[in-house]
Amino acid sequence: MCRCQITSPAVNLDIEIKPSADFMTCMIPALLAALPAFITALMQCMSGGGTSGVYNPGDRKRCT
Amino acid sequence: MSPDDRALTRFVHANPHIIAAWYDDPILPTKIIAVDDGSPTPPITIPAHELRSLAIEHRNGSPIRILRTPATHYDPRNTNQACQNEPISAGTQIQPHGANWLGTAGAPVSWIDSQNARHWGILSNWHVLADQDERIGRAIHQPDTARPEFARLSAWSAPLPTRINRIDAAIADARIDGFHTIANRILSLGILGTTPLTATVGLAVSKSGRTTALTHGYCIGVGASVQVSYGDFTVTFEDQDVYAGDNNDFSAPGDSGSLIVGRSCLCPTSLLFAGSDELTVGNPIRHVTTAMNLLWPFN
Repeated sequence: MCRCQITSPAVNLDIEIKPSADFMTCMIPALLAALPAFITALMQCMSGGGTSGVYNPGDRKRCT
Repeated sequence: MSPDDRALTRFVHANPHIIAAWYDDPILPTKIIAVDDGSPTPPITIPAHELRSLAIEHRNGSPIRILRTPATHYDPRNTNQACQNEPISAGTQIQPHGANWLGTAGAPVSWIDSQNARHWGILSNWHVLADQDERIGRAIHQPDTARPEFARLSAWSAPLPTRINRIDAAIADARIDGFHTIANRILSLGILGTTPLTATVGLAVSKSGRTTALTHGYCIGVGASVQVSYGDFTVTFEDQDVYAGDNNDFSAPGDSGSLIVGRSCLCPTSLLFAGSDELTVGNPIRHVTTAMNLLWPFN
């Protein structure tokens, strides 16, 4: 069994393919599966409407 | 006298701020006039199911109105109206881009959008964050438009005069340039309790808002039907929570959007959106949570 994982701030895919142990056999389907979601996330980020997956408080001084 | 009538009579006499109350029954309306002797009476506990569909009339016909305030009003001594550095505490003054009014960023909230992505931002009212300019991405400023935007309008639930409503709510995403501008705290209150609380008559509550800052009060009614003036139109709400202040006013114009919390646990209880000279009205937080897909706790 091989296991491919693709993770970005907007895409988190975890794909298992059995029983192949060939790397390319695993990666190509995984990349193809991730492509639509990745493009959607990329478009959202480029248009300023990206999702926020983690609470990340800022410390900007905005009153002076 | 039915059990419901008895409960209503007790409710009226327990609350000197209210001179008349009746069950909202279009077939056989029952109206009971209470004696308004001006003496404070301790609140009594009434089972919530006895107060369903309760309608309230106010002394001198004082209308219930939304509680935002014109942008010209400003008190430099009130820290709830001051500019906040990031991360910004809730309970503070906000102004949407292009608006001539001020309101309150009620609470730090988290929600799941239709794409199943989690967001962090603020909860306030539709009439504070959106009103007629319902535009996703509308810039929200703190304390006013003279300072940079700190959130962008994300979703809302607008009350309509053509139907019976339960909430006047909106949320704004506080993620700007990759960072969240909102803190997990409310000014003068601190970090919220983790679990929402359903109001019951007599519940001790607090709120931190733009105009009256930190105030304390108690719940005087649940399940109330109220008519709320939005200036140009009037909207009917059902199943609302009603509050009175312990000593002074619990709220005033500009406090719209504040979160009313149970005093002992700081648990989210109601979204403050309207009031009169005598009382304050809030949307039960359970209705807001469902409609806006909120997650508790914040983080």
